[in-house]
Amino acid sequence: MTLAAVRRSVQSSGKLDMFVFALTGFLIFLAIFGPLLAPDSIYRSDIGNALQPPSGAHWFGTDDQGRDIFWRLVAGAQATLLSSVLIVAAYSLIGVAVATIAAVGPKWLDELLMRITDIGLALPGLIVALGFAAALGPSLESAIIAKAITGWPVTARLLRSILMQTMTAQYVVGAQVLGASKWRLMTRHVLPNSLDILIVKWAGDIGATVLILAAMSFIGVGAQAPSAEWGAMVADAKGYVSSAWWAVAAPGAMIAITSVAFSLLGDILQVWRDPSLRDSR
Amino acid sequence: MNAAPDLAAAEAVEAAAPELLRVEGLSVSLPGGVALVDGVSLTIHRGERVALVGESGSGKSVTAQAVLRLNDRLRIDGRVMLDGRDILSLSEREMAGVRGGRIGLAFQDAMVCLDPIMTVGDQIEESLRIRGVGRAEARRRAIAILTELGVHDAADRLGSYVHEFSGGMRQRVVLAMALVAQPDLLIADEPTTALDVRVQRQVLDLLDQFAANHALSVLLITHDMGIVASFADRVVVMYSGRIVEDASVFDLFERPLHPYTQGLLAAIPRVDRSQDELAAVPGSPVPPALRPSGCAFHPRCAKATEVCRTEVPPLETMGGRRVACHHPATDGVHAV
Amino acid sequence: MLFELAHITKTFPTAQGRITSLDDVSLSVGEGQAVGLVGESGSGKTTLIRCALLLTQPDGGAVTFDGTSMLGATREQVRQFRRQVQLVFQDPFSSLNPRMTVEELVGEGLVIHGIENSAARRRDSVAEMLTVVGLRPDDMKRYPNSFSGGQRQRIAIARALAIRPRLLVCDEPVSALDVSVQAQVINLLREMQKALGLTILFVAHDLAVVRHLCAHVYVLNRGKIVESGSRDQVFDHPTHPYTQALLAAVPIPDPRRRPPRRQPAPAAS
Repeated sequence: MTLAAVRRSVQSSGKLDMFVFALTGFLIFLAIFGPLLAPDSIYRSDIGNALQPPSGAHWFGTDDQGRDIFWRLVAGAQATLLSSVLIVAAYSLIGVAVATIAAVGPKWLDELLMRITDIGLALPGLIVALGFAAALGPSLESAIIAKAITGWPVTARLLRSILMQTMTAQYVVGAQVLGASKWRLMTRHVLPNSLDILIVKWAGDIGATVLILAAMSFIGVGAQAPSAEWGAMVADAKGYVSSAWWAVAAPGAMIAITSVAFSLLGDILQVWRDPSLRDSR
Repeated sequence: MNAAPDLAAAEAVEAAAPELLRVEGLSVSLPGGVALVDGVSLTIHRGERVALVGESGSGKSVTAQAVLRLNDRLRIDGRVMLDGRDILSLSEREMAGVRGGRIGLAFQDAMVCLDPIMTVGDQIEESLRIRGVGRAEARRRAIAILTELGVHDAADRLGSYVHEFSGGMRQRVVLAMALVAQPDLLIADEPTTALDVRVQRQVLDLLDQFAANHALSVLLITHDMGIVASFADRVVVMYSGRIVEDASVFDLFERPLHPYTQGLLAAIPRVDRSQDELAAVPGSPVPPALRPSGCAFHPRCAKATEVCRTEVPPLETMGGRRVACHHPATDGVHAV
Repeated sequence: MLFELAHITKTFPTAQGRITSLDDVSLSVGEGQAVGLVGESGSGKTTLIRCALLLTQPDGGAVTFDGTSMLGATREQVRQFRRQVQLVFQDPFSSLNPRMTVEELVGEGLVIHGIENSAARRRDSVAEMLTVVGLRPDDMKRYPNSFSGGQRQRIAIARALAIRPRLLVCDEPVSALDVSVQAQVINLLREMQKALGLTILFVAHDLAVVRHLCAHVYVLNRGKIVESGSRDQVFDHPTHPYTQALLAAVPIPDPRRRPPRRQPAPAAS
């Protein structure tokens, strides 16, 4: 029964899975190598070529400075996507550390850390991030720092409950009877069997963070023009959207596609991790 | 032998009673092609209790599911004749009338087959209400069946929820749901496995009395040879999706013909005497996906020869019983 | 006595007040003996195992191993205890860490207790242990999910025995296994007891398995030991009504022993 369900799910959703893998893989490739691929011309203005509609020469048209939008998107992938990955990695590390200390440490420390986490969860993350960014001065770096500081409580709370559950598993009790130290129990038995769910969360979080970074750039507390960060590109082009829609549409579409692609990746990884979900797809 | 009259009675049932269910060449496979059940044929007479015995991967539960077409993802071949009519060819609507109507079903895990947010009474009455029985009449019959299954204050307990019941009481509710529409056949899949031994005995005794009162036929799916010996008239032994032996309960325990049945019986520790060493069967039961060629049991069999490795032994009738083995026991082997 | 529990009491707080899980439980296991503890679900056997293995602190009583009182023992004494007392679980599917190879699983105790610090010699010990429990040394690189239930239980036994403990506590070690495989594991435990001079505390609900393996038997009911004695004494001449009821309820795998078939009750509708 289960076997059949697995096979069916692979047959029916295999194409979508492959497409999502290819797409996210391609976006990550852009994030790493984009700035190397793009021609130098995108950093210079060429007013004579300003606001060209999409054509064979400029696939996505040009902006008000006459810069090629396609190549600016390629170059800007780094600012948008790589930053998102760094943010998620940073706050996940904080979250993992807090959750682990809470799970292993004495009860009072667990209480203390979880109350701090509760406060963190209660604060409206985006607003706090905006406040941080405004205080640090508008730039991509301050947006990254702001989001990294406010993102960890969810991870910490989620992981702690998973750790607590894994700690009651029979193989953990068995290792305890074998005389394993707390450190060994945690690093060899509990964490390896708990962290995989975070990978699922990471993929979804990256999608969400792309959106938030873009939003922060758009309202002016994140990356600033002339950066090719996608949100900044949208913000930059909004002034002349009536005469050059493509200058807003192209980076907007990239933001949407990237966000959706990573959210889908999270869903797919979730199903791969937990075979019981394969039935429902 | 003190059991002689009993034995005669069992044989009389078989000879006199008409056939109720006849399964012919039933094969069940996954869409990918692995045969979970491979050519199973068996007959249940009216009032007869047949135990379907096997270990994990033997296909005993899949056989029951296929008989009732409970899993529409499985490919089912063969025929399942209920009173001479092939129920595999019925429409889904007609089949729904057979399930819970002519054939009742009870599963092992009460917590899975009972709805936690419906009262016990509503669940028992449901199969009657579906069949157009009025509310008052359904309630009366629900009380009657629970009382017969040993629930003393049945009328007061119909409004309770499952979590308010003990394990033994839950299993009685599961049986009541299966039996309330007065089916001719009860298919019970490991109905007492999750219970403690004293509660198991109570539930089995109740089922025994109920079956006697209503001339109910029972297909009991179990792995417990103790339950088989105390409940069944006839035993069908399955291994890796195929029937290897089919005999009356006395013949099977006294003189098992198939090496697997012999091994199974010799491997059971006994509570009523002290033994030195258990005769373990080497290896593990094979899941159908890894079934070897020829006789599926040959890698674990001490008697296996070349023919066992290459040819599937047919299920042959010999002296009122059936066995599928190239080298069945012919001497007077006594396992008990 | 190698291992003794004396007057162990353990209660748990619930919404309805404190419930007593263990009430003045005493039992003792002599070196080299196989002692059985029979209990149904809810009898308190799980709590008893947890107390015996120092995973839970009892409210009162004493746990003594090899003459040392283990409640309030020093860190070093507990470490020694962990080296000499091991546990085999009921469910071989959840008792082995799915992310460790057989070599890591069986060798873990050797690492923890610093018994074998060289990886090569540790591999030799693991290979030897696997052979002892009837597995092939080549199985070392595989993960537990590629084994059948019976093989997994052999791995679990090898893992527990690799550090040569003196006492092995078994928590329903065969109840999740197929009948034909169950006998293999029971025989293996018996062999280990004889070959290694191992002491076994065997906790199970299956009376037949306990009778087969254990020379001395305790019966636990609702947190109390209601009967104890030699195997034949408890099984053939039970004195407590609970033990009698328990034994009478076990279905005997012999159709000649069953009562004649019931007749329809006259009152039935």
